[in-house]
Amino acid sequence: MPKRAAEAEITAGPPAEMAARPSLTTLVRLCVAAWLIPGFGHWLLNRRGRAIVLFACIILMFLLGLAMKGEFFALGTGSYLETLGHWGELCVGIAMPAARFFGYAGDPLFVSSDYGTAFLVSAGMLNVLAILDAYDIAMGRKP
Amino acid sequence: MPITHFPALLLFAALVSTVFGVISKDTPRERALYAAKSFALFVGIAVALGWIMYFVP
Repeated sequence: MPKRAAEAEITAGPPAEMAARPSLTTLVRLCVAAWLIPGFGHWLLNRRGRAIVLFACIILMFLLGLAMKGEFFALGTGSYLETLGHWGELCVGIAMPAARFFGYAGDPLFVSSDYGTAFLVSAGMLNVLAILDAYDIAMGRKP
Repeated sequence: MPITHFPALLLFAALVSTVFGVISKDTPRERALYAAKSFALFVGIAVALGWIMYFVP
């Protein structure tokens, strides 16, 4: 009986959800889109409601971080924590380079600058969760 | 925007809990419940830790 089951498995080919998996290129495009614009991965997967909530929350968190004059961490300082902070903030997508482009520079002496920095990094981390969620949906692991 | 500890905590907890709820659960009711629970835990634990640290010399 186990032999028959094994033969049936071999002849039947991959399960339905495996066959429906998107290609690697599609997955990479999806993840890059989800990284650049928070919630855009969900939007592309037709989870519009989720996409709007994710976009609103993550961008609002980032904007609050800017309003509190949080700092952007720099690369090349030799500090591991600053390097991690830089990558964490960059995870929010195009918003961080855009803020830099428009001349934003945090003020470490401002009273709520530390909170602002925490908000900026947290926005990036939330976007990582959103990217992973979009990936899971694309792979058919989540509804 | 100068902000004090507690409003910053409330804002942070509200936004993070909303994202957690949206990502973790599948139905709107489950999401709302999870987000509310997560928000309450964020705020409750932060306030409790604040009081514990108040008594630590």
